[in-house]
Amino acid sequence: MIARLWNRWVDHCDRDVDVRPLALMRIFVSLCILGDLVRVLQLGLLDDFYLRYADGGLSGIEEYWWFLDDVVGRESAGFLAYGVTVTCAALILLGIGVRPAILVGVLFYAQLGHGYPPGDRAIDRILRLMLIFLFFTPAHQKWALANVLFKREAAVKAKGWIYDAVKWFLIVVYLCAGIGKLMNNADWMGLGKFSPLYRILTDPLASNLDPNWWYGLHPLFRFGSWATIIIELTPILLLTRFCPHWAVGGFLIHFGIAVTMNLGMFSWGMLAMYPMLFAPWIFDDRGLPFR
Amino acid sequence: MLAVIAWTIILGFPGLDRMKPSDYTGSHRERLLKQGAAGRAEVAIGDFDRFVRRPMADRLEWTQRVPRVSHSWHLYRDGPSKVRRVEIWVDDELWFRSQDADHPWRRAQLTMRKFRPMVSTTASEPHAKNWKGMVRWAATEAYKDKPDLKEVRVVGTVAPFPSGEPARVKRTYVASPPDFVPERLQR
Repeated sequence: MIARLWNRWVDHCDRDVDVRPLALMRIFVSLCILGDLVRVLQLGLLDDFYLRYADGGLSGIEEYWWFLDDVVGRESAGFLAYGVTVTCAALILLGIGVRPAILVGVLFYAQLGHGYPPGDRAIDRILRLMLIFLFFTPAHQKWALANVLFKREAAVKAKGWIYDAVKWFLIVVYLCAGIGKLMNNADWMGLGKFSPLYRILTDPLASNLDPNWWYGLHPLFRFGSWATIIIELTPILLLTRFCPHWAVGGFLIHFGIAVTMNLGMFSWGMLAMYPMLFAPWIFDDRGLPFR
Repeated sequence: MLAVIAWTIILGFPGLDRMKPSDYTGSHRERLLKQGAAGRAEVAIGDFDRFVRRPMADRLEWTQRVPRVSHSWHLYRDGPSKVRRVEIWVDDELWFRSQDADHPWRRAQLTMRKFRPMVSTTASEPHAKNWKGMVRWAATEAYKDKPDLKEVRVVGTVAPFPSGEPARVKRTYVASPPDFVPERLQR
């Protein structure tokens, strides 16, 4: 009985799946990281973020795990970490030396986070974890410049466990968010005067919506609060054939956030994982399953 | 795959990751035990968290530190309870105000996602250290645009939702040339 269950589990994890959603995820994740870091440079904030407060930087927080400054010196550590991370993100995007680039890139990207903790948000952590997952896949052999340069054959399939791992991780993320919201404030499902979604989406420190003007449409936000909780408490559907249907709800949440709030790459980073969720709808069937 | 599942469950079990030991010990525990089956179930979950999950999570914590990843997610919980804004005044002239198109100085920087935590904690958390870096940054940037400036004031205002009532000043910080050492006038 146990042996049979174990064999079924192994067969399930070892099944072949289509590699294209993973390759698209690789491209989108690296594009988000690259775009975000280039934006820092464009705004002239490199010194401010990655120098310590004593050296003219913004943040007074000093983290134990920020060890690059001991190795190369305080004034150049941030710039080194930035340069290596940008280079690795570009390599991952182009599909050249992807696996080494992921290994090195994740470590230096993490160092950037340790160097300037206020700017290292949940989405940075999520994307680093996604890169670690992608390390174990052949996503680097599909839609990759290295295939052209080195006349390498493109990958067609990947092992199914990585689909499961990414979906499992998304389930944990959304469930944590949903349960956390309800534990913090029951108004998410209630009829309170100011629904949490209204307060979030009209917060002048994070959003573009004027709290006065939008209060006239408060019922819309209340409905949005309920919908958000329903979506965040039902990600288990990702493991079923209703995965793309659920993903429509998730997409609407993230697209709404992208339009109304100033959260930078947060929404786009989350949506970078959605090609896998929408795979049955956006890719032609080549005989390999998408789940 | 099993390792991934175990890792995520131990380090970020949804719901348990937000519980504190005080939620299911002491007098609170006694109260829960008197609440029937639901209370006893909550205590049992709390004990599982305290004696099984947390010790394992503590031992695995380092695996999250090096790559700075996480398995516990507290994405936006319920938003602020009041309407808070940050204003930047240069010699009594308003240059920037949150969500104010008429005063957009350095808006791209101040609303950038990596910068925004500095701004929001300056406005709302008196115990955070971020105000120093934020105020010094505002002063040095203003000096680039107005080399003869006398003083830069960073002000945190607060108003109730919706903000029909006038906002009142809650926090004030200043910095002046030539050294731009930030000072807190009101917390």
